[in-house]
Amino acid sequence: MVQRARNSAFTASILAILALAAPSVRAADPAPSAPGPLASDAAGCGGRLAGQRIRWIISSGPGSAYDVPARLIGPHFAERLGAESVFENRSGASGLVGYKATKAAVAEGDVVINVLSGAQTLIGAAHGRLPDPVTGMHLLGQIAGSRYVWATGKDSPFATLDDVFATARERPIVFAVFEPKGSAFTRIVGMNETLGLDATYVTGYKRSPQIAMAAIRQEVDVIAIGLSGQESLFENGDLRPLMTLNGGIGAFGMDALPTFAGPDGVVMARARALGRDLDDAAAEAAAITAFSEIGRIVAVPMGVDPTLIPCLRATLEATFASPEFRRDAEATGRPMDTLSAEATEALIERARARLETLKRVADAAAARLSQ
Amino acid sequence: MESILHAALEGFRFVFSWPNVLYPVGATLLCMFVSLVPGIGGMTLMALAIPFTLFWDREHVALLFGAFMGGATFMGSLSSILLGIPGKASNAATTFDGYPMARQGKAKTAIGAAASASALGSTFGVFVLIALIPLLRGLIVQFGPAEFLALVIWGLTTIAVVTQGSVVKGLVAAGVGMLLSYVGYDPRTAELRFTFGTLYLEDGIPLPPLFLGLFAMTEMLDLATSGRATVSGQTKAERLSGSLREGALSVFRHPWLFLRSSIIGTVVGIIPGVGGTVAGFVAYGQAAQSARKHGGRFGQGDIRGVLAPEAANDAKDAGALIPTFAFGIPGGTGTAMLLTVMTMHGIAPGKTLLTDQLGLVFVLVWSLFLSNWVTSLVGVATVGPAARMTVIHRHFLVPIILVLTTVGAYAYQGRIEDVCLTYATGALGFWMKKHGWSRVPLVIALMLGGIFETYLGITLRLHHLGRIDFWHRPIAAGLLAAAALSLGLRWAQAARGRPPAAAQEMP
Repeated sequence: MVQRARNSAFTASILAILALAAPSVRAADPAPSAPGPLASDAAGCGGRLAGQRIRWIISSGPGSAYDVPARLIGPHFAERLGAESVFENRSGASGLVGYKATKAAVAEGDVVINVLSGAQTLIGAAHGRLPDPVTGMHLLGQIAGSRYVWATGKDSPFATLDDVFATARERPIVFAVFEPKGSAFTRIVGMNETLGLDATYVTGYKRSPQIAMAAIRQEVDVIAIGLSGQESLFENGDLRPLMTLNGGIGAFGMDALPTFAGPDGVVMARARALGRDLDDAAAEAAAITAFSEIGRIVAVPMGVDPTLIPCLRATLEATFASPEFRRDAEATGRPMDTLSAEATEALIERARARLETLKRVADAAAARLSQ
Repeated sequence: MESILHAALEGFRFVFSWPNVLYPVGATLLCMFVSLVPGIGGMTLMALAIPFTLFWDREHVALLFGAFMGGATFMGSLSSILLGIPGKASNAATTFDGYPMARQGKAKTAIGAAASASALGSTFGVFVLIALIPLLRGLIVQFGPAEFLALVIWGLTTIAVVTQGSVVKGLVAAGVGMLLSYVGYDPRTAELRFTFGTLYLEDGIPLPPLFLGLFAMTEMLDLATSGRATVSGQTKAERLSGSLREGALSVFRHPWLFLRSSIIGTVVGIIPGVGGTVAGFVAYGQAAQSARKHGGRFGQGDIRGVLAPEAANDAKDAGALIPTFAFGIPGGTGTAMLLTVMTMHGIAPGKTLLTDQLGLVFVLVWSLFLSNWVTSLVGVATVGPAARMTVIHRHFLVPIILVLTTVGAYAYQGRIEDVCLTYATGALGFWMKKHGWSRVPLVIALMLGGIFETYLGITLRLHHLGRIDFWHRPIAAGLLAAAALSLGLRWAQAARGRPPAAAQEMP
């Protein structure tokens, strides 16, 4: 493992040379400046991590929606501590492979940060496969949120969400989904059940692009898809958005779309139409929203010197707030919805309160699929 | 079409101008170099490059990433031919005839054939891309799960074509391969299968450690116990009979085979999610099928068995860019990474990219093209020293390769279980080889079984729900007809009692 890290550092240094040689049309942009020792002291680290290596173990593949934010934040984060960031991708078994690698790294005496899915970890903890994201590990915060959209293909007969509900009275609406029991499946099934949409599912799709193509080819009626990385499909009109999870998406005219949660959201309107208990509906919508909004979290496994945790949390927050990081994040074209440890914890607790309901709904839907 | 040709020309000028040409050449050499280090490949390099290239201009980013996409391909072919170790899953079909050629002292010929087929296959893919750009979007939408399924079925018929000797043994090996491909989660229900309660098997059997065992370890165990002193049987490089020139020119002696294989590679590349593995096997299968009519020696070192998968494997690279450019739908990990980088630099895939920003598309395409040629030329330039590996005495070669195999298996994920898997499959492969069981059906079934199951499940479900009509899909019907034709010809040949063209003793 140490060799892997050295190899990565070696390759990174070659790329750095290439980067220095590269002509840039954005030459007017100032080079990222080192924050210096002041930032480190402000975080209360007292130079304890200066000159050390911080290992970021990413529980998904290179280039993924977890990997890219981590690789952008990591160097800024390490600079503030006078340390060095190295990255390893350890995907598999719904985050468990990555978590096991972090534990092994801790045993080797390294300072290690695990980048993983908050919703997946919560589900994993409920099944006893992963530690609890709040009590079983040291949560540092959220490095990227998730913006979910319901969409249909450009040639679909559904112009609006109301068309979907109208059709659902005549025949089941068909959704394309990932494998059952995962966090994405749980979210989609939970949304359907909360909306009283007696949908049916086509499972087995491996990645978001496959699901997008299923909608474009009109093999399925509706897909629920994370916006990150799929923006061009909406920009080009290949996918037509029908609903956002909780609004706040300015691009592609999505602000005008109905939102799932909230007092004026689709859930409440449907609850009124179906005669459901409004408080129950609101609580379910809030839980699903919170579950989805946990996003990509960063956590330190138990075993790392606990006195370092406040320092790491403060450094992460300082990194989020720094103009250098914000500028790099903006350059990626992907908004970095970063949150402090406390705010992320609050989201997790909100989701946890209704997790059993979500799990029950998802398990029931999965059981129907296997019949 | 005029604007497309103009953009292609502009892109060509940009890539091949000084000092821009240094980027793809340097990146390709870097990619080839790091591919030698266990645990680092083209994908890792791309991931590492993302933050470094954040403030580069778009054109230079396209230069760099185009080269990364093509840079690691040929290295896999070299190890396939010289040691019987496929560098990547997509190189597996090359081992079937490439390694037997090396054993006959014809490593140079095989490398020459692979290099020319790769370079020309890549060229073919680029020109098809240029020709198809106006039709791309409509074309991609025609390929759904039913078509993927039919294509994989065609790939699976390769088993019938390449299996010789005992049909029962071939079928059993294929069945075992299929069963192994089902280890892990059921893609439809997420139920765990054949994991015996172990976490390691939950994500299925990882292919790189399995390949290391089934190919590298098996071949080294065989070499250690066979009585042969070296892979080629020769102890001096001067005695090797192969010729680089003969290999390189073989593409021109088999133009129709090259063309068919390149078309297969390009078409498979266009289909997102299928990948080079299917391309290699389908191309190999059709080559073996046609060779039977003319008395080929497939599996025993037939140069056509190297040409076909190599041409298909490189022709697919340009094809794989098509769905990424047209829709933002990446076909694999490499194109997914490319999409990430494109997004970061404000390049939106779709109509605009294929019309207003076509020049940028061609910068990437020509960079990929150049990268494929650079890898082939470097491969050719190093063919002398590379071929010497086949005259290294087993006392040196076997322990070195076994150590590298062990390190490579561990470096893949840093898991000791991968090393155990490599040793277990090495023992299995050695046993199969000693007892006349071909490993080819097992490998093909293992690699295609998972894709087959996924698309079979999706297709059946969509058909059941009335969302598609499987029986009225002309492209799927055409692909199934090709599969049926393959099987029919094989049956007819067997019925006529024609002596088997393929090897009795496949690798």
